[in-house]
Amino acid sequence: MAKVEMCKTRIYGLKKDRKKILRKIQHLGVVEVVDGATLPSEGSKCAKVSSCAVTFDDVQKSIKILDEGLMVVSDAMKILMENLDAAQKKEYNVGPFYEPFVVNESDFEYLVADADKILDVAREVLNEDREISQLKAEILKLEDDKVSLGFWKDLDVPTAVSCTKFTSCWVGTLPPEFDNEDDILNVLRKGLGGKVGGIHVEIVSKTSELAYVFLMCRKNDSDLISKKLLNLGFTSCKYDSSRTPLEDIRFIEGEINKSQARLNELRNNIRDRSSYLQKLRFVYDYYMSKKESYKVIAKLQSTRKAFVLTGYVPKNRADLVESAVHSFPHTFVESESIQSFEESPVLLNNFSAVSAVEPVLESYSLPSKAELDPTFVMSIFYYFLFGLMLSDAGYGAVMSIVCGCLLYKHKNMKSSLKKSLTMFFICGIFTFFWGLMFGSFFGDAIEVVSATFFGRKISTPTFWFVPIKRPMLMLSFSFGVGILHMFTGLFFKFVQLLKSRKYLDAVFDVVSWFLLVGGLVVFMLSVPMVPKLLDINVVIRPMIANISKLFMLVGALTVLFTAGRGSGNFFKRLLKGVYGLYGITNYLSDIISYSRLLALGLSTGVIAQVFNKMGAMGGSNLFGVILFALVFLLGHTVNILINLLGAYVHTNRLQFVEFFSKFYEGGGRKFSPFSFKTKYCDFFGGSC
Amino acid sequence: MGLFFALLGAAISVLFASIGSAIGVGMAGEAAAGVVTETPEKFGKVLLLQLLPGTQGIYGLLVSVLVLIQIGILGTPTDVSFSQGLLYLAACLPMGFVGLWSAIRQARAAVAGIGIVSKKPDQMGKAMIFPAMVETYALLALLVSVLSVLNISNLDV
Repeated sequence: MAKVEMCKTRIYGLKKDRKKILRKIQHLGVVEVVDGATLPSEGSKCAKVSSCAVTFDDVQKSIKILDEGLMVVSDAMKILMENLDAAQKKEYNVGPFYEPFVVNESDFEYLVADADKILDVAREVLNEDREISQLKAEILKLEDDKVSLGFWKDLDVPTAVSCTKFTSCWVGTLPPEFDNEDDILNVLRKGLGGKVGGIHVEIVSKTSELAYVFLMCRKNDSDLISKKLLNLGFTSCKYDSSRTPLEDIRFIEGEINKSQARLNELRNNIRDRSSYLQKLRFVYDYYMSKKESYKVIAKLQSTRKAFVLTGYVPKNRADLVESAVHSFPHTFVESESIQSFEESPVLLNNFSAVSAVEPVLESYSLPSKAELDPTFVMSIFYYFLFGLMLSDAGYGAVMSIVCGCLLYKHKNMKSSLKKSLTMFFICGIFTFFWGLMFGSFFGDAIEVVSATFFGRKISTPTFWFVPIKRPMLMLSFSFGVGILHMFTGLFFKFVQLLKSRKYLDAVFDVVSWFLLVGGLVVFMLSVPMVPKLLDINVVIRPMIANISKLFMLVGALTVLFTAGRGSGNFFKRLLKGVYGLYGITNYLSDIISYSRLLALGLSTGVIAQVFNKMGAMGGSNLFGVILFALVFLLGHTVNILINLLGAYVHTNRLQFVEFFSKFYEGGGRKFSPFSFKTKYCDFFGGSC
Repeated sequence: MGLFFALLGAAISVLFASIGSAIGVGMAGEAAAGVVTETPEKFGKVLLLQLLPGTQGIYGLLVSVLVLIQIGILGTPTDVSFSQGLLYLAACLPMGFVGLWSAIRQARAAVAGIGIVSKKPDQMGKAMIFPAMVETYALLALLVSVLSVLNISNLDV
């Protein structure tokens, strides 16, 4: 329930054992390796150790090779995945609930020995895939040719024909207005002044864009005619083949068939390799973890034959490291506690309901060295406030049931996902609780259903009050919760200051505000108009009101005279004190900020009611029932999702802004141990 | 006549707040689509950010529906006096106008947040907080509108 105490460990070993030792430590996954280059070498026990026995370049080179391999493997996996059939796709799918497959020690060695072969398979798959895309492009081009050759298929001479012994020939296209053989003849004759005879024109085919023509004339007229043809917009045929178009088409069809056959063959090859997917996934993970260990090697300090690994390890796991490397001869482990000036990485350890909100804390910042772990207190308020914002028994039940089922069904899911599901599971329970308190179950679904379909109105059980009927009471309850929340934050600061023995600061910065804000609140309540306005029933006795005034005064004076205690000049100090007192406005705006509890609660409830009302419009017949069911399902799904988002965001805000601003700064660095960072496999089962 | 003004109020509330949300969600949607073209797996994250400026429209609807219930267009018909009608109209103004403006401003924060997520997907939590800060003011307006609408029928005017 706090930050885990860290200690520093040094592992001295021989270089020849380095690989095995590193793998053991990687398997343990409890050591965060410190970069040896950053360690002070003077005065430390390993003064003579240089930190660059494995040169940086070597490691970079190895990492580069691994990266290449990783790229090949991941591309090949993608291709294999694309070519799976639906059932297999489902089997190999890596969704959020993917459970990694366990690779035990003997399989591991066996597969590692096979890794190069598997990589070759991946390369083959890539090559085949490349060929497939080439073939596809080729087939497209052939199909294209086949279509355009189709216009020439009635031509019974080769397209390459240009002359015979006595004649010249043209094969080509003319603009579409020449759609008649006689027209062309006339135009040609006219252009040549009637000097030429013996021209043969044949229109092979026509489209709206072009006329496909064959022309023939006597050889000695060919120059004149070809000039004239150019003027008319003649383009000669781009095919230049010694076969007739029909023969060409047959040939192309043959080519297409051949390519198609090769394509199918390649596809089948790839499909046959789908059994390699699992192995590729192993190789991917193996390379990834190897890359990690190379990064660690770059951080080691070493001499010619030995190395030193320096790292942070949770204190309670230090003996694990020791026993893990114990089996290697000439290996030595020493641990020392963290020095006060050192910023060690932060690892939090809470039981699961509390640790579920750790990601929220992390998204703000982890506690720094001097700070306590606020997760426990934060989690209580988190669930409480979240429930208050969503506050619908039905929605809470849906949330809890969905998250609970997922948690129960997929026990080996990733820890981050597990944490958020656990968080929403508990948030659901609190939402359910507040829903009962405020009489909301899918809005007013019970009332609407009973009134519409059964003719008798049953009201939703309400254990406290209905906020929409007494909004002021809900508002004052929200303020109350807010004051409690903020005071808890202040109390945290008090404890933190006491712990670091800053007793005066604790009195000046925390107790003074407790007195001032607390006194102010009690004093306000003692004015008879205020409780009436806030719809609450409190009577403050005059004596207590007087005491509260005194508290207020003492608090205000303390702030006034101590807020500027850092400055030497009296006036400056006083001015800073006045400014410090101005901070009361922060407290007021913070308290008012909790009115969002009312606003969000109302928005959930009223929108739910709107959907219920819409659903009930069909009346009490079969159609009405179906309409109600549809609107109910759709409307409430939308409402849950939107308000879930709202509740999540605003609960975070209340924690980050109103709560943390009182005591928490953060700035800790997350503990990231040297481990197998696998995506698909679980090496050796169950990491420690 | 009172009924008309009350209805005008309901309309203004849902009208302006929804326009704001529509503009806002649209803006954020464009930015989100830009991110998804490069990294489709961030869809879920940017979608959440896109939805943030959408709440104003819902708040507008909420106030509007409350007015409709209070003046008897939904549920049991009641008499609405002229001055009551004007009061309903006034009560709806905060939600309408703050909803319009805050949704647009929130969308700009959301767009910036989408920028964060595109570069640093692990900073999602922080990216969501910035737009949420803007929403506070929409919530305050909602609160004033709701409290007024719920209490106007108790007034003797």
